[in-house]
Amino acid sequence: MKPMTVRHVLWSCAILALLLLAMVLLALRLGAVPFSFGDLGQNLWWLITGQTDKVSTDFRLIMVDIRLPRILLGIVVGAALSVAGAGFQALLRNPLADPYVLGVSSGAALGAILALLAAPALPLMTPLAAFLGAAATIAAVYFLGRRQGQLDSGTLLLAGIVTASFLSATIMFLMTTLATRDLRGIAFWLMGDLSASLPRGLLWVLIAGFVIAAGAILTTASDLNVLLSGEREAMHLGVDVTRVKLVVYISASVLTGLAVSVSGAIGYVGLLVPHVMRMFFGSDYRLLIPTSALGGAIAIVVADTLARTVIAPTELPVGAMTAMAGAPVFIYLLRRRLA
Amino acid sequence: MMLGNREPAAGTVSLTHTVTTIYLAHTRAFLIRWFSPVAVRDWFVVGVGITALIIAPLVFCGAAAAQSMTRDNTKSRIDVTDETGRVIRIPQTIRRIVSLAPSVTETLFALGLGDRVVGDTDFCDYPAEAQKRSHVGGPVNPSIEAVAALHPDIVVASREINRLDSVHSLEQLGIPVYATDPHSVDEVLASTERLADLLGAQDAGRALVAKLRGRLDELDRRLAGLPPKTVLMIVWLDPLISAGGTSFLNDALHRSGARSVIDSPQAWPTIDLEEVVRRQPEYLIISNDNAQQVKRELDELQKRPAWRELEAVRNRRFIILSESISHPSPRLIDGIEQLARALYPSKFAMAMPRIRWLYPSFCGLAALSTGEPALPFMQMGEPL
Repeated sequence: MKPMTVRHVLWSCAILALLLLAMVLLALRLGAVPFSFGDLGQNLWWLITGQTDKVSTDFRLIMVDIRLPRILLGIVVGAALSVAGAGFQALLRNPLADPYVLGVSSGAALGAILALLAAPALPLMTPLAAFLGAAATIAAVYFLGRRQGQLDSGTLLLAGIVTASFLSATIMFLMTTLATRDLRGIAFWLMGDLSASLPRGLLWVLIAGFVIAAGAILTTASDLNVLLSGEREAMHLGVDVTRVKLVVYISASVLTGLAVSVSGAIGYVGLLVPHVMRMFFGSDYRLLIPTSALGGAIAIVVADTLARTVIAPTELPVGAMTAMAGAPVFIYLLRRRLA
Repeated sequence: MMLGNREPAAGTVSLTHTVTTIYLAHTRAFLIRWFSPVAVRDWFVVGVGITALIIAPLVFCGAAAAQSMTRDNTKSRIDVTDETGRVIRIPQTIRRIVSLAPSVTETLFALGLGDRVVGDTDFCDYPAEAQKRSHVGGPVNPSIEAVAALHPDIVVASREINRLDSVHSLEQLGIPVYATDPHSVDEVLASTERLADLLGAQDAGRALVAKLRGRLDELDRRLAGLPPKTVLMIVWLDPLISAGGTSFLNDALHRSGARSVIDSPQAWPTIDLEEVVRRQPEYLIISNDNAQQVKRELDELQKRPAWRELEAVRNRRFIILSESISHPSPRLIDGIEQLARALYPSKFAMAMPRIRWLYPSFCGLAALSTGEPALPFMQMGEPL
């Protein structure tokens, strides 16, 4: 195995970052309201150089107020989900683990439903309640998933799956018995949807949360590499296994909670992106975590652009796009690697 | 980036020479470390990253500044409360309206505000003129940017089919959204009148509502003293969904002299077929403009196990109505009249030649499927 150098990480990330930038430009260009690349570049230049008075009102309204925040939200959500997925796959030592395997999305959905029932008119209530629901689920699963006072991968996985199905059943019960019209949005929410625009401040909170939690996972990257060969082996090699597992569990759960609270449960990204990145860049976690973050961002930006444009002006939920596109792409990559 | 090993010159080794050599070596190492082609490439990489990180917030700041500038306070604005209790601030004169629901579009056109409707949904097909407006997507998932690009003074939505998320997103952009929320025929009329007031069409609103009320009164007179007939309104077949207590449709059934066999506090309850079998409605009602689809559904009903045992199915007591009865707009009154005529044909003897929509033997559908306009009674808009 080639030693991992900072340069190697930087280069891999730079390639992905350029790809992401290209995708962002494409995503800005495409949408229900058409803009040419010329217009786009001209207006962006005016905006960046501070000549805001020259920017056309349409551009300001469509690009700056609608598309750009949505794209940035997609980037953060995609990065958070993918890093969380990579974290859970290492923590549970299970390639099928994804950010929702431990029930965080169901907890968040239940929180969102309760918020919609209690105070439907307050716009910020839903993401807040969703995050609280996710946090409560994280805590519950943590206490259920311990064995002799320590996090045990197998027990944690089972506790998460049971909690998730219990919460899903509760959600179905609430939705059928109450059938409030305001719960219509929940169907979109359960599929994952980026169309709801959020206050600016919330985006910064998300970015800050992402940097802290993803940074925490990144600090455990070399320990995670050792952990891949088994917990006992890692312990003998001097890894503080208990601490590493706790850090990864909490950080990955927080990342998932953040993403779910603003976008609903977007499927497949957290499962597939880390695997795809492993195929391209190898399974060293020091490289896998940053590349997963960028890869997840690219995946969501592309999927959301498709969701916005395929049957424009009607929008698809982005979760439908990731599920439809994700599975075939993954199978193709898997078969190619095996061939 | 190995340091080149420079052998000291043979012979004398002065202190100056040593120091100079060390300095040179350090300088060279420094230059190689930071400015060799490889290092420059790394710089470039880091540079791209940092630039990207800086551009994003800059764009945001610019956007925020730009946004605060666009808020024009030149137009005088008034505060109004919409039907869900939200207070919205709208311009005093409204020239551009976007409708997010078919019922809203119908109401606006009925009020003569059709030329101010600049956008509506893919499903707004009545009147035909409404299809020519630019569409902003489906009612449940419209494109917010398509709405914004039309620069509406106000967006009118319906709590019945639109999503709260869409409303919040539009409000975020400073576009006021008025939501209608009628639960009865009276509330449909009140909502129509209120929209008329709001959009500067008071006279048209008053005239329209007075006319509609006149038709409802006339209907009440004709149906006075008649025992109501029991019906099952099939809103959706699989799963079976009907209209319940708090829906405008349930009230519309009442007005037509029908009583739903379904007694549910929910607006659109999912019904257990056992309940229908137990209550045995006299008529089954379907509201659909697509004749082929209606024929298919009814053919299938007559084959289904529990359904075919229903009295109404065995006697072919189906009433097929146009979609007007399922839209909470002024068109609802047309639907109510249609249903009343179908239930009590003798009370509308003068209009008999026009009644083609009760199919006791169900032969009428054959005519419908042979290329006649879908349902000929759809134009029936004038008072009885």
